[in-house]
Amino acid sequence: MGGIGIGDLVADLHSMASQLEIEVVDADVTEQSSFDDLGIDSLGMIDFLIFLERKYHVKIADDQLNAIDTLGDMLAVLNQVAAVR
Amino acid sequence: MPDAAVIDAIGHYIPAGRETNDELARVIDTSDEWIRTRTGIAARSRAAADEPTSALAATAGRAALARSMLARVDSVVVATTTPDMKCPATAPVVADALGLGEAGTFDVNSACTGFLAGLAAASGLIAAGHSASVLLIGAEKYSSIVDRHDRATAPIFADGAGAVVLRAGRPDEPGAIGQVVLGSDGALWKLTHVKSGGSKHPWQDGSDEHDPYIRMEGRATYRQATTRMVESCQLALKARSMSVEDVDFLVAHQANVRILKEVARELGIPEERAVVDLADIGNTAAASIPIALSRAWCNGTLRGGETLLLTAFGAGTSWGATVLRWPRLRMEGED
Repeated sequence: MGGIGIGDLVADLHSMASQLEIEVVDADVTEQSSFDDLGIDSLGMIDFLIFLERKYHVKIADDQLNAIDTLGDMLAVLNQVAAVR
Repeated sequence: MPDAAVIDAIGHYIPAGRETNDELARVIDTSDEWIRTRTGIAARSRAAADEPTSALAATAGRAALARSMLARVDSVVVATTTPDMKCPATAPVVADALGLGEAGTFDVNSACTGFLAGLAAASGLIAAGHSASVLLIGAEKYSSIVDRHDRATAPIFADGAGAVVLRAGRPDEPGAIGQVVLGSDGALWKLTHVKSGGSKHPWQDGSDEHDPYIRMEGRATYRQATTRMVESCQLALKARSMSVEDVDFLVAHQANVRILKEVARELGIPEERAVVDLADIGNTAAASIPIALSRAWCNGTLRGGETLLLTAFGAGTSWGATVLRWPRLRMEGED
């Protein structure tokens, strides 16, 4: 597996946009974008995380959830668990 | 021996006190909008200082008994996380307050899953022939274990009670309690817990690290709650050879509106068929399902014959679900 990139994550955000009740503008989204910046609160972030867990067949541990604030954080956690899978 | 326990009557009691979002925002760093978007709660019910859990339970129990065809019940089961005292159980105090003499009594503690665990236990009492009738009450005074300065719990948890009278009947009649799917994952006990006052951290050990309040990991609890409620609902439907198309209403533990919407969405149940009843009362834990059922019956949403999918998730972690065909119940004074 070549790893999950920021482009993949933004595409996933688009897929989930209506459920997360957000509008995603590609140009504005970077690894530094926080979920807060994107108008996604902590519960919306968990909805997104559950979607990603299913899509990439990974399981992110509970104790990692509180460390995720930005898309970059999410990407790092995802790639970490995908690598050890 | 009877085959099944059947719901004969229902009642609820919500104390008059309310703590609004604006009032909370004066105590903690939050706002009406922040709380509403995450929880769907505008105000949470607060019992008076002289209203312990037993008083809430007795008032709800009295309301249910007044509508029952039964003159009395053999057993009283109280599902609660917030008993009056560590000892004795709250159920005997409630039975005494209701004049139920020497009824068999015990409490069930499975936090927010308590009503469904209680339903399994109470229906088992009847099906196994230990009791001919049971008063089952979910009752909570969470204000007694909530830290008013904790943003993770203070906006959510509330006080109230809901009660059902169960009688012996046939498994095929409306109101019959079928299989209640129950599960738990004790490895996750830390997600929601009250540390002090039990045998692990007794008050008298003099520790400086005592914490009398309920603490909750919001993010992990939200994830576990949505996934476990969905899984248990699917198991409960499968056990009855039913699908979500057969369900008229999803009546989930009223944790917060986001969880209710997400569980409905995951199950494929339209949002309007998910009962949401917490805006003016908050999350009443083990009392939330019977309160939601009782209020839906009182306001005419439930008339009799509807197929309901009940589910809950709580501390433990614990969870459960069952399918229930709602019976036609009588109001006070009806023959």
